[in-house]
Amino acid sequence: MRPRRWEAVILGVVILALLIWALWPGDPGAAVSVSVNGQVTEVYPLDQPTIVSIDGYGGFLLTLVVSDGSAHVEYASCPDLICQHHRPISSAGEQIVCLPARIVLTVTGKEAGVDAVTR
Amino acid sequence: MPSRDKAKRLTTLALLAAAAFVLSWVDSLIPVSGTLPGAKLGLANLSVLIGLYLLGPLPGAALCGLKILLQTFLFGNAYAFFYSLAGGILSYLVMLLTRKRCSVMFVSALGGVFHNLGQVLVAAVILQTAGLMAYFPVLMLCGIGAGLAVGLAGGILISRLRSILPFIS
Repeated sequence: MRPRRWEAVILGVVILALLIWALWPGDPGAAVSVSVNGQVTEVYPLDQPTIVSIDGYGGFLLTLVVSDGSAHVEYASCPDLICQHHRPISSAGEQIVCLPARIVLTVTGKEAGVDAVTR
Repeated sequence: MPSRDKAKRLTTLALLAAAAFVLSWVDSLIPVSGTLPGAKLGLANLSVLIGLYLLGPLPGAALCGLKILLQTFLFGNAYAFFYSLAGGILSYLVMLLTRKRCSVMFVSALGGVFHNLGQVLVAAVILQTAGLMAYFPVLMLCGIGAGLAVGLAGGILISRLRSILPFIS
């Protein structure tokens, strides 16, 4: 029942790698890009305070607030509200995802490119 | 197999189905916030795990299907169906293939990891985005942790049930 030695070794290595990946500090972000149903619709710079409403899939609405260099969802009309409860994002690569509305908010870095997505 | 044993196996399956029902409900009461919707502790997987080991691949698959239906129509949002389906099937296949070579805890941890992997893959298809990378490590860690806990309980239950249910191989 208990993990054998090789299993424990695999688990330990994988957990350590995932922890490092999860806790790796991200570069400061420059902008937040809004993607609806796979299409990037808008990009808002993080240094300009903004309040916008985003139309998502299935008629769901999200209110995106950018302030103090970070972005968060102030209000969501979707059933689970996971995006609304998500903490503000500010480092490159951080994301807030609303699955019902098919909206992905991603913080992009200074140089928008591969580095902005991989963390 | 004598028909009496058949009836006993069927009764065991029914009891595990009832347990899956309760555990799915408990799952829905405990929110795992900050991750993708549909992310749960996966306690219902305990039933599937025990069914797979004690009764075999087909009853295990039946329990897995029941778990997915319960999660979708009774204790969750219907839009999460494809996430539950992909996660459930992928996780079950992996557990099915590894159950004879690995310990129960490891099999259960693999089940947890592949359940979440299936969900991330479906999300990538539905959202048309390659990267849900910010969520990936957290989801994998949750899968391993929950899987190990379920596997620990499952391992104990499987060995005890084997000794008190003699008709089970």
